Amino acid sequence: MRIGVISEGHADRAVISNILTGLTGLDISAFEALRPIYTIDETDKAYKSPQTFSSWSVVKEECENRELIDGFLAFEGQDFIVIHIDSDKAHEYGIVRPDKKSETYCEDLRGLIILEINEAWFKEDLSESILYAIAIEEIDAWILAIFEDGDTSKPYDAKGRLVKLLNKKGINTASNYDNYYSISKPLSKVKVIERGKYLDKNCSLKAFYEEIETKVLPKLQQEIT
Amino acid sequence: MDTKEDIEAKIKEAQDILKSFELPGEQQGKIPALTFLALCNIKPSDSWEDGERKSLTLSKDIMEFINKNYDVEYKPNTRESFRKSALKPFVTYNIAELNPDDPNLPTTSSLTHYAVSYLVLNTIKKYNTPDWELALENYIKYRNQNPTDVSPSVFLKKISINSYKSIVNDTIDLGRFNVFIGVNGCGKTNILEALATVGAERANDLTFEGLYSRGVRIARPDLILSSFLSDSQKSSIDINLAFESNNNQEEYRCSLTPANLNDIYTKWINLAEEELYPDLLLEYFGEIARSNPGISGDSLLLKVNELIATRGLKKDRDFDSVISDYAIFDLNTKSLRGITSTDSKKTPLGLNGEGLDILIGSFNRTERSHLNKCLSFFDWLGEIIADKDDKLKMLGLKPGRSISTLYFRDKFMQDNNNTFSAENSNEGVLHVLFYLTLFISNKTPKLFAIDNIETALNPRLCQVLISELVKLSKDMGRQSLITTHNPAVLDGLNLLDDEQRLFEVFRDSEGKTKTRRIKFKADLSDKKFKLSEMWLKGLLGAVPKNF
Repeated sequence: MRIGVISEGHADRAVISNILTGLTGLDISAFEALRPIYTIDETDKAYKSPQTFSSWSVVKEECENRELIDGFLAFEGQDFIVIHIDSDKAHEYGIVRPDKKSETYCEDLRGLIILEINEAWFKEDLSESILYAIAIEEIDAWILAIFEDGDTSKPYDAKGRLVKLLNKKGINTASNYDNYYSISKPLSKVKVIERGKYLDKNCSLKAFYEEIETKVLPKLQQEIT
Repeated sequence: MDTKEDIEAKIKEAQDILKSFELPGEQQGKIPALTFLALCNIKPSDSWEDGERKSLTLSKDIMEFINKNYDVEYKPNTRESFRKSALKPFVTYNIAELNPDDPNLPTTSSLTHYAVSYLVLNTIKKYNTPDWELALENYIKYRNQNPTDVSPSVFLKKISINSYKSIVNDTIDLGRFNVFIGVNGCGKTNILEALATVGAERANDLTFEGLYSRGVRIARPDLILSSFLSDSQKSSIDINLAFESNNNQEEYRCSLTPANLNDIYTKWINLAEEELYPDLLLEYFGEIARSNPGISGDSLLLKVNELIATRGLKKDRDFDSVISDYAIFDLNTKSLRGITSTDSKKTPLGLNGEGLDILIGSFNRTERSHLNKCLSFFDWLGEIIADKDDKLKMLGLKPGRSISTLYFRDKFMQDNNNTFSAENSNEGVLHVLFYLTLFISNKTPKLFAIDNIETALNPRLCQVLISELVKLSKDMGRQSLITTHNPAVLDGLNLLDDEQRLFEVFRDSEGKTKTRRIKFKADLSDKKFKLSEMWLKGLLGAVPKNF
């Protein structure tokens, strides 16, 4: 089995890959990076503004035109695609935030973003093949769950908090694939996740975890039998 | 007047011969037997030694002969049965030749004719004589060397490689035309080399020279045996092959260990064959004793040693000649131009492109007509000239450095200035000609690999060339393993055809080489792009991920 990953950036894919490996047992080589790479040449880079290459707009664009999604799913052994998007800029892509003080803020916001993806972007229900990695508010909050106690989906600026915390511990803070792969490594070990109760600290991390459990694991089991 | 008994006896004999020639059951029925008798011009009361070769059309000659001599009355509307159950398979199995008097006849021509092959004719003349067994043995031995042989007698179905360079454990189910893609350094060429290593072993040629001559990059044994951080190094390379030969499956296990781990020139030993040594030695002793009655003990030992040196201590297998002849072709423009000293000694085509001119010069009309497909690939190309006697050199058309006798005529140029030697020609045309020749000629290997087939070729040309090579590989009974970095090569493949297979070669998280087949799902309605575009978009893998 191979799983495609459409993410806002390379570092996001690193975190997602660790979670996928931990739950499915698939080798890292089974995760295919579909976005944000491969779509532009050097001329595009010189012509377009840098923001267009690595942000929620990349994800939205792909969900709307579905070139990579349909193409990837056309091959045998390729049945799932992870769609990653952070909620911190949700207002920019048309989401009206629920009450921030609400106890179900995280679940509600995640639900609204998935609705937007399905109805406004895909314009049809592809949820059988899509693993929604909606990070509230940033994927850095999922990593924060490794280092912090308490609900990491609440505070804004998870990235800033993570950098501060890593600096304190003398850990490299660079936001690139290799470094994020390394610092999010504990998310690739189910026992470590359970022991650290990471899923209880971020409902969006837990929801992504459950996406994999309910969609991918039965298919993997089917392949084995 | 021939009696009914004579007729039945002769048909039975023909069926017995077809069976001895190892034709499938379907080709041992009454219609194939009667067709065979007609092709050999044998009437019920004739002796087989009276057999004759004649060029015969189906309706006018073959069916009339049968109806007249064998007390039957096949109507014209039964022609298709003769074609399907007899003539087509006879051509495939080299019992008969198609259109020997005019190889360029269109397939639908009413002049389409057949003639029994000379090898078959000479063999059947010995039927019912004391020499039949020997003649049959020779027939089996030589039938695959017949220049019209296009049927693949041996087909490599599966290869499993353990502990060879970056491949720790990998299995590949092969088709006829196999294309491998992957990032630089993923291990594509290692797969090709593992197969060449078995070829050298089966040819009793598992030496530095034997490996090099098959296109293997030589390294010290301790660098050839997989060496990864996560595992201890094994002492042997294990390669298992599964062949299909005349509908029989045959598996071969090979476990190669170096005599000296640190010696690049060391001999390799196949441990998997060791258990066969006692039986093989007895077989060799018996063989020598039978042909040398009364031989002394010392002489016997001497002869056994000679036999071991030439044949090796191994059992003969059906696939030996195919795998021994396997090589990895990796073209070099200078070799194709004939301006470097001949590096590869492999004949008739060298691994780097040597010998192309000589082989094309020896082509018959059919081979030449296949080769002329090349004219449609280059809009400027008017003619391919194989100047066997090198007369054009005397006209000053070759500066003198090149030993190639190939020339090309540019159709846009004036008559007196339009012929270019291989040394001066475009390099793409030389590469294309080489690949066509490799697939067309019956003197080249049945199973081979091509590393980086796209070198020097325009992307669109890659697509049409691959499509043509796929067709040739089926028509000429070839099996190939091909690597490429050019996406356009993929556009020449039809992945809905199980004989054409595409593989991604990749390194897993521990760096070990793995291979997976890339296959479409049944519903292709969502396929919006060509395979080349899908590769570039990252949908097939086989691209670096981090930039």
